[in-house]
Formats: sequence, C-alpha cells, structure tokens
Amino acid sequence: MTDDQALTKLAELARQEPTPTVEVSFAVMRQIEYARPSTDRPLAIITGLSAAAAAIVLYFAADAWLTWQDPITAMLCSMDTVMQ
Amino acid sequence: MRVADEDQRDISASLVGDGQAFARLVRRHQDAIARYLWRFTRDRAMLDELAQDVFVEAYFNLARFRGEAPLLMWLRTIATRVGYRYWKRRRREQVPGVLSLAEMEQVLANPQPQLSPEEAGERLHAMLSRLRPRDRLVLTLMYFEELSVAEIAQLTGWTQTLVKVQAMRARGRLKKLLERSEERR
Repeated sequence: MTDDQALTKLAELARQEPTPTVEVSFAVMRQIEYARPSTDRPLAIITGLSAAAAAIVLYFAADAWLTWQDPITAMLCSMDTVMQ
Repeated sequence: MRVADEDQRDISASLVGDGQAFARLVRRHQDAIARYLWRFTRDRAMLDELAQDVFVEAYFNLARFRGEAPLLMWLRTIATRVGYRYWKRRRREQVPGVLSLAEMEQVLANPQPQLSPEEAGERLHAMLSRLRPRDRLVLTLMYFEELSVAEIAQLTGWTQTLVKVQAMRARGRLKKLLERSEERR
C-alpha cells in the first residue's frame, strides 16, 4: 500500500467519526454587540466638539467678563502696565 | 446553486439590524461549520472559539455576500481563513505537535480496520499537523474533506494550478517526513 492509498483509507475512516456539535449563537450575538460601533458615536463627537468650542469662547470671554464685573480693578491693572 | 429562501430572508433582515435574524442563521449553520472546523482543531474549547470567530466575521462582512452560492459555502470560505489563521498563529507560538515522529510511524504500520473512526481522525490530524500550514490545508481539504481541486480553489482563493502544485509538494513533504521516521526505526 502506498502512502497516498494509506492516507486515503485513513481519511475515509476518519470521515465516519461523529463530530461535536456547538451552540455559539448567544456568544456570537454578545461579541457582535460588543464589537459593533455604538450608534451614539456621532452624538459623542458633536458633544466633544461643542465642549471644546465652548472652552475656547470661555477663555477669551473671561477677560471681558472680569472687566464688566469689576471695572476699577481692570482700570488699575491697566495703570500698572502704563507706570512700568 | 443559490441561497436558500430562509437564509436570504434572514440575511436581508440582519442587514437592517435584526439581531434575531442573524442568530437564526448562526443556529442553522453552526453544526456544519463546527464539523468543518473539526479538521482544524480537535480541542472542544478552541472549536467553540473558532466557530464564534467565523460567525462574527460573517456578520461584519454580510453586506459583501453576493448570494451567488449557498450561504454555507461562503461560511466555509470564512472558516477556511479562520482555521488557517489559527494554524499559523499556533505555529508561531511553537506549540508542540500532537504526535512525535516516532509515534507517527505507527500510523501507517497499524492495520486500519482495527482503528476506530475517532482514532483514525486523531491520527490523521496529528500526522498532518507536522506539516506547514499551507501544505496541511491543501491535504486536509483533499483527504479529510474529500474536496475536488476546484472546490479547494474556491475555498482558499488559490488558482486550481496552485492547488495542484501545492498538493503535490505537500504530499512530497509528508512522504519525506514518513521516510525519515522509517529511517529512525
């Protein structure tokens, strides 16, 4: 018997082997849920961008806000600068 | 052969986000895929893991399924890729083969009628595991699965000529392995 024939016979016998069954539907659906990109992602991106824009506006507006709130201090600060 | 109606219905529903429809597809084909993947691993836990990988990959590529062949054929193509990747990963991790060269001698020496199908499966799997993944894949599909050159080409994405060449080389390498074990006797 050649190697090829032996291999063929062995495979023939091996194909009669009962193969195990699996139940993976639940695990698959769980993995899919976990891996699927969240549908809230665009909302999160917009929220993030809005927060960043608000922070920039707040930074530049802080000076104006302080001047409006306490004009004397703001005026003295300016005087200090002039005296130097 | 085209996609079965029930598969087509569930594919369409899955594509619009019906998770239950995809779960039905999984339940319908999981045993056939497990049977196929049993050629790639004989470890029950790994079999579950590989079967899951096949269906997860199928889910995320479902929009690319053209429906020109039965769904199971497409799933088997994915399973081939998943199984092959598993062999390559395992080889890199250098997990020792299931069978030593000395043990391999017994495979051909042992008269086969005395073997049970389980033993034959175990031995054939162990013998082929000594080969490189490409060689192992072509011989597994050819002998274990009894597939034609055309079917192997479809599953692997190789040309039919490449399948024939690969099979010839793989048989040669297997023969060398067996001869080497004969010399060590």
